[in-house]
Formats: sequence, structure tokens, C-alpha cells
Amino acid sequence: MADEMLGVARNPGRFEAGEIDDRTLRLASSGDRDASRALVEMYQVRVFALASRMLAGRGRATVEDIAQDAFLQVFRGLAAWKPGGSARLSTWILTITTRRAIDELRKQRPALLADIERTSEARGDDRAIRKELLAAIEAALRELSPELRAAFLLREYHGLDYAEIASALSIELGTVKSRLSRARATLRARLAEVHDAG
Amino acid sequence: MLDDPDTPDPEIARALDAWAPLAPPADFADRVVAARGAAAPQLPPPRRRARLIGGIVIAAGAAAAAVLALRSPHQAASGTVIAAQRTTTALGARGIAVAEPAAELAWRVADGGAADIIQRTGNVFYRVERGGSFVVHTPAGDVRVTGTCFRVEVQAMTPNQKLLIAGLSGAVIASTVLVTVYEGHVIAETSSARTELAAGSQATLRGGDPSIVAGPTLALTTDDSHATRDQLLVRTQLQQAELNQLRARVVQLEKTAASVDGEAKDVPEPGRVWHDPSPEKLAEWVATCHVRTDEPALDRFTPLTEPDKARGIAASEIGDYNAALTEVQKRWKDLTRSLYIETTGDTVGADTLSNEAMRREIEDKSPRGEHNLILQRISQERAGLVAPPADLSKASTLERLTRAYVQLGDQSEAAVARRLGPQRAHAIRGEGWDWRLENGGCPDPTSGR
Repeated sequence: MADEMLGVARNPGRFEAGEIDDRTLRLASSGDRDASRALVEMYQVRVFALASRMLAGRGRATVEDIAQDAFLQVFRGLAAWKPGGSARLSTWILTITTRRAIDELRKQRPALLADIERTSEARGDDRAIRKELLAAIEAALRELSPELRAAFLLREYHGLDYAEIASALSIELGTVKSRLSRARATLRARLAEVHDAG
Repeated sequence: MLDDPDTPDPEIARALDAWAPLAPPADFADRVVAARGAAAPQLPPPRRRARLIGGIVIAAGAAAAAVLALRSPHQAASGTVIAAQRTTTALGARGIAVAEPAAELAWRVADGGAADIIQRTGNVFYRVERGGSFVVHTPAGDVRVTGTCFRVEVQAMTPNQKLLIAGLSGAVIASTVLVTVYEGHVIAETSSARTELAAGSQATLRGGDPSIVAGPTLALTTDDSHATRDQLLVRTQLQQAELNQLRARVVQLEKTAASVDGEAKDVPEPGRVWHDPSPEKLAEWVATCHVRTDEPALDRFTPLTEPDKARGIAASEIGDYNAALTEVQKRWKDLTRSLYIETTGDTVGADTLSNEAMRREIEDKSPRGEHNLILQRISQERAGLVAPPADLSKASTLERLTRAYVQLGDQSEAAVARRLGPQRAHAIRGEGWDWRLENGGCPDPTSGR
């Protein structure tokens, strides 16, 4: 089945670049619908990539809710955004997405859903090796705190530098590096388990 | 010793590359733009709006209040239903489920109103009110309600299943779910497919098959391209008869639902106005931590520009009325802003977020179950069982916010009274201000709070 049919992005989107132009940004800030749509379309793949990985196992509906909330928060704060400053708009949007996802992760998930989610997970039709890798990486990330998970994803998939991650998560620069090291160590251990089992 | 996080690791890189994220749906940007517009609606002045929605002002007010200011009533509720006969159940404050015999469902309404229902089998009619997500989980997939106000039905499908107009129907025979929508929109989704259904459309979800088969709309149940005029007439008559039967069923179900909806809280007590319940009623509400509130839609208040016949505000009173409510509105906004900053430290957000958004943030940052505790205390105070706190300076931001909110109705009347006199103010408030909220739900005794 084609990836599009599965609702899965064909390109994982690592280190996607590109920013919206200043004119469209100004129009979007003033409420112009076409410009607003253009802004969402420019960044939505990155927002979904981050939100779906941060919220792995929570279901598409939750990811869409968080993504939409993030964009609405972006629009509410857009007037205060200063184009040409040191921070990129994409970094700011990913920061907002990260914080929304962390808030969501801290919420207690409904126990009622456990059975259904297990059923859904069992329906996957990925190839075995891909499933093993996915299982390993998801298991590794679930062991991480929301902030640690965010630091890892922002670095590995979105190419944020240490300073940007530190700013996004409101932590010290040195903490970023130590968190990334721990995340990688956890992931490496999980992958080793996969190989040992194989 | 921690290693350098930038040291390349081919194994990790391979694992990361294997993990494809979810892609946004094709209409995602449109949905965000629409939601952005909805977040800042251009509403007519409150009184005009009240006239427009007329008889549904209570329900609309209660629903909107979940978004406007406070958490939805009856939050953090849950339950299960295994129906031996037709069973009507209030799903917290989010809606009504009418379960037919043999239907099984478990439901939970979280803080903030998000509702999750697991329908394992059977036929259930849902009527859903606005406020947070509302998802029906079935063995074959999920049905997610979007939009404002819906009526939903989930019904077992048989081989000769006929089309239903009475809502959204799902069936659980061999894990097959038939979804039919007659009002609003829903999203049907399986583990890997998703489709949005508008009123009058259908889809089938089958267990084990992640695809969703879109069905015909109610008006296109068969291929009409080769039918004769007589055939079409007969078919139309049959369909009309079927629709009439189903409409009658909807009416019947609605009556059943309405009989338990909110336990008829909106019915005024003899000799009393809505916002002034009797001491007996207040004592009764302590058991459910119920708090009734009305307020003049202050978040969206815009000064009157012409006399308001519905409230009996004459041209000569417009200036005083506007000044009074503008004053209360400003105090309310200032308070919300200061509590938001106290809660979050986010002064930039305080300058950009709407009042509603700031209150949601305060609620989100508050401990789970705190709102129920606050409602419990207020209901006890109103019943005269405990004295109100003399000093709120040590109270949480959520408590101060909630206490301020539930006093907005009286404060607004007092502000009008200072300008127009108490009798006129009382008359203008009438049976209650435009937004009327029934809020309740006691703390969960198992939460340890």
C-alpha cells in the first residue's frame, strides 16, 4: 500500500529547511487567509513530524489536535514575531509544538483506550525489519522524559543546534548535550537488544 | 561518561530513517485557517445573539462556557453501560447516549471535557454538545466528532441494514462499523486510514482491514442513471416514508434524552428567577458540587448601539448600561491577565492571547482535580454549610479565577444598579444574563486530593 494511503509521510523529513517570505508572514500576521494557509503548508510537515514522534502511540487524532493547537498559538503570537531576528520562524514554531506535545505527554492517558491502541498497533503491515527498528526506537523514546525526547527529536530530525534546543526547552546549553548523549545511549542499548534477539 | 552526541552512529541513523512520521491530512491547512477564524468570531452584540439562538440559549451557554472560562461541567466523569433495555446515560456534560438492548459502552470525560467512548457492540444514539474532542472507539476504528453540535447514532448493521438518517451509525457485526452522519461532521479513522464525513454521507469500517469504504450519500443510495420516471417516483416515495419513520425515531430518542439531560436544571423554580435558586435547591446541589452561573458574555461584550427590546433597555439607558458592563469587562480581563502571568510568567503571551486562551492555560497548568475541589467548596458555601474564605490571597490562581467567574453575574447587575438603580438592574438581568452555565462534578474520592 502506498505510503500516502497509510497517511504516513514518504519522507521522514530530517533537516528540512526553508522559511516563509517576509511578505507572506506579514499578511498571515494580519489575518490574511491565503497567507495563513501558506504558512501552515510551509511548516505543517515539520510540525507533524515532530508531534507524531513526540506523541508516538497516542494516535493520529491527538497528533492533529496538537498540531492544530500549535499553529493557532503561532498565529496568536505572530504579531510579536520579529522577522530577521536571530531565531528562525521554523525554530519558534517547533518550540511551540514541542511545548504543546510535552504538556500532552504529562497528561494522564485514558486507561480505557489501552486495548484499542494495542489492537491498532498490531494491525501494522510494515516489514519485519522495519517493525523491529521502529519498535526499538519507539521503546527507547518512551523511556525518555518528555524533555529528553524533545531534545533528541529536535536535534536528530529537525537539525536544531544546541543553543536553539536550549532555548526551546528553557534549559542550559550543557544540559542539552548531556541529554542528547543519554538519549543516544538509551537508543543504542535498545537497538542492541534487537540485534541480540535476532 | 557521556559520549559526544554528534558522533555518527550508522545503526542509530538507520533506525531513525526507518521511522516515518505522520503526514498532515490534505485539508489540514484549511482546517487550521478555519479554526483561526472561529477563534475570533465576529459575533453580533450579545443580546442580538441571544435572540437568534432563542430557545437554545441554555445549552449553548453551557457549551460555550467550557471554552469561554471554566472547565466543562461534570468533568472527570466515567462509567460503563451494558444495556438490558433502552438505557439513557448522560456522558458527563458532553452529551447523551441512548443505548439499545445489548449495547455495551464504556466512557470517560476528562478534565476539560474531552470525551472517549468505547463502544464494543450494539446500537447507541449519541447527542453531542460542543467542547473538546469526542471520540467513539469501535473495534473497527474510531469515529471522531468535529464541529459544534451533533447528533450521532451508532447502530448494529445487519445484512439488510437500511440507511439511517437519525445520526451516525456504526455496527459491530464481524467488527464492521457503518457510519452515517446526518448533522455536522465526523471523522472516521482506522489504524491507517481516515475520512471526513459530512451530513448525509456514509462509510464502512471493517475489522482487520484498515481501509475505509466511503458509502453513498442518502440521496444516492442506488444508481439512478437508468431508472425510469416511475421507478424514480416509487423509490422516492419509499425513501420519503423511510425518512419519516426515522425522523420520528429521532424525535422519540431526543425526548428520551431530553428527559434526563441535566436533570431538568434549566427549569425555573416557581417564583424564582434562574440565577437565584432556592436554599433547598442549593442544599441539593451540594451532593453533586453543582454551581450555577450566569454572566453577560463579557468576553464578547460590545456596547449597545440601539435599544435592546429583549432586555427592555431604553435609548436613554444605553450609555449607563454600556459603561457598567464595560467596567466589569475590563476588571475581568485585567484579572485574567494578571492570573495568567502569575501562573505562567508569560508576559508576552498575556499581550497576544485572548482571554479565553489565557484561562485555558491557567486551567491546564492547575493540578488535576483542583477545579472539582473548588466547585465543591463554592457549592457548600452557597448552601450555607461553610463560610467563604476571608482571605483569597493564598488561594491558587485557578480558585481565584473560578470564584471571580461565578460572581460575574452579580457584579454585572451591581454595576448596572449603581447607574440605573437596583430595580432596573434586576429587571434588565431578568431571568439571567446571556451566558448560563451549569457547572459541577465533585472531586474523585480515589484521587487522594
